[in-house]
Amino acid sequence: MRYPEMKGPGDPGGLLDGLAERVERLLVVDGTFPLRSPWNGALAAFAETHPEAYVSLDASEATVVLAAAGFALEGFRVLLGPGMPLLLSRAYDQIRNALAVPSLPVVLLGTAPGLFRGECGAVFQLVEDLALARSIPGMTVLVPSDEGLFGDLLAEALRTPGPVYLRCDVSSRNVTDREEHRSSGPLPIGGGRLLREGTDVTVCCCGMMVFEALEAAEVLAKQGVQAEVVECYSVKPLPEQILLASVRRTGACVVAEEHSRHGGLASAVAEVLCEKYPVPLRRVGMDDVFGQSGSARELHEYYALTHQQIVGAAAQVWALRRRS
Amino acid sequence: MDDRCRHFLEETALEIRKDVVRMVSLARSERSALALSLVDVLVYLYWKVLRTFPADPGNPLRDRFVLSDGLGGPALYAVLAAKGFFSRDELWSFSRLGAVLQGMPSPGRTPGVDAPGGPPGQGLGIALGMVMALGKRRCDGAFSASGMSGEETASCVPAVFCCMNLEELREGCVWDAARVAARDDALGGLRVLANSPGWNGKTESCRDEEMERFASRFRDLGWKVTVGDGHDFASLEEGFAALSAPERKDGTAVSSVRGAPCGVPGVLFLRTRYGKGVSAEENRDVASEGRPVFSRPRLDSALRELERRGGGSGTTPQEESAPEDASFRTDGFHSSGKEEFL
Repeated sequence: MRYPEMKGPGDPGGLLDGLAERVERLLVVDGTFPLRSPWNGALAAFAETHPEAYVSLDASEATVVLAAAGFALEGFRVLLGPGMPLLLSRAYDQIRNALAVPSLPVVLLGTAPGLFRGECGAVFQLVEDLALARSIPGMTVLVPSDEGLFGDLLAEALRTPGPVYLRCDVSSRNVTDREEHRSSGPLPIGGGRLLREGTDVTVCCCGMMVFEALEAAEVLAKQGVQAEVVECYSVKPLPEQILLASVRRTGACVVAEEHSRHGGLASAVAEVLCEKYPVPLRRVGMDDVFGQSGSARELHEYYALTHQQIVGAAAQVWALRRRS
Repeated sequence: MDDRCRHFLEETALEIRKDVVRMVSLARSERSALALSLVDVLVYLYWKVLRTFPADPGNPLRDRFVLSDGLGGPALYAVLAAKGFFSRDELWSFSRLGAVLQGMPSPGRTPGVDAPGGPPGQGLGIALGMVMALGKRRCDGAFSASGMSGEETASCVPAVFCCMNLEELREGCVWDAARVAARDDALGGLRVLANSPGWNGKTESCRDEEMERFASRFRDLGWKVTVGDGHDFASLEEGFAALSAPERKDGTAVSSVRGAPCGVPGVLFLRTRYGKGVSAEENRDVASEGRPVFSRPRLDSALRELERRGGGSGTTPQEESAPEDASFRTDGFHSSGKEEFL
């Protein structure tokens, strides 16, 4: 199995490079995480080159979120939380009441989404982060798959007037040829990427499952099923038109995400399709269980987050689809 | 403080109290007790301490005010209206659908409200972020004009006041923020007003004991602690003067007066009384009776009581711009009948 090099638990390297030049009045606000954070290197580099745009509070998640609200109320564009992997779950109340209710421009980074912090076990594996973020009114939810897209979306998110949750389990390997993708214009919030065209089944995916979906499409093609792969990096707002256009052609849909099957991308897609164009649908994601310790690779196999699952699900919905 | 000044503040506070009782009654809310306890503090703050720009509420030079306990909202709204941030008529739609004045303070919706309030203990963290942000903006030259000396610039940096309720100080995140704020002798612009209301049902000594526990925790963290009487303007004058005289951790004074960019933050504990000015509220035993909605007769008697106490000389600015009580009572007041209102 081809396994992409992920930036999640590894080295985020240059993810913050050039950001201060792209975003006016940027402020990176961080707490300190007692464990070794993979972001330490990137943050240290950023703090060194842009000391005026970096604040470390050395405080709990709740306090850091409240202080971020104070910074945002004074006109700063705040990037929050590279060193706070459990930000969303530990400071939900503060995020809801101090950031989302007044709709402040703060970007929350999800640095331990899904199963990537594998060795720490269930506590540090937030398999329900998208559900939490998606249910807050006015919160934008973004799940990029590769570094280039992450950089674009981060800059875009920092220009958004309200709060944004940005997952950063991104791969250093590019999903598409960057030149080709650039020529199609900048990718907006609320958009999606058509990564592979097909006629038989739509595979809707985000984050690391994009690579699995592309792999699955290869396997399906050998079996004579042409899969269309749509990357829904914008989980909220969902790229409905791209999704509906694809499903109208294929008549069947598989959603793959590294998240609980409850409340994430799969739920979002199912909600839209049920209302507007019902087709057979299967969800590939975590069962209703917590994770456990293990390497990320082992855990993805164990919890059935692989291209084989997507192939199986695609075969099922393809067999069920309506014949016109 | 001279007598004229004290008289003006007392008259103003009386008018604010009347407005609080009216707006809370119109909203059929039971939330007047905490607001009434805050009135004198807010009147002193807004008329004597804060630098405000009612015609330009977003002016970057304004002092910031964070009302952490949103239940005090009616007092803040009545004060903001009297200062001219918005029309006094807005008070009568407090917490109704579509109102400018939400149940909890909402920045962006209400002119003059700088920060969201509501969940207990939220305000101090936000005020901490604001005072740090103001320090950063000072470094960018946001508050300096050409030809100003360093000291003049420092005196232009706005201060951030955060008003909290004693009960909020039980929240853990308050102490996390308090620890961070006192860490590096640089956030002297942060001033906390700890409103410590006593209740008839709750003994004064019990309240004072709790206040002293919290005060010593602030002292341990390096904060400057002052205690005063929240219903006595002379005591408030002393308290705010002590709060605004910044000092460093080692006790040495800092030269600039306002929004000191250095020094330790300060906290002013204020002994107050729930429902101050309205005896039906002051003497209520909440444990057995609960907090009441003001019925029409109760409202009338509360207003009469306030009139008696203040003498109703009609010399304050609010009085001049205020509509006649009679018209107010017949206008938006109960059209659906007294029984339902009761």
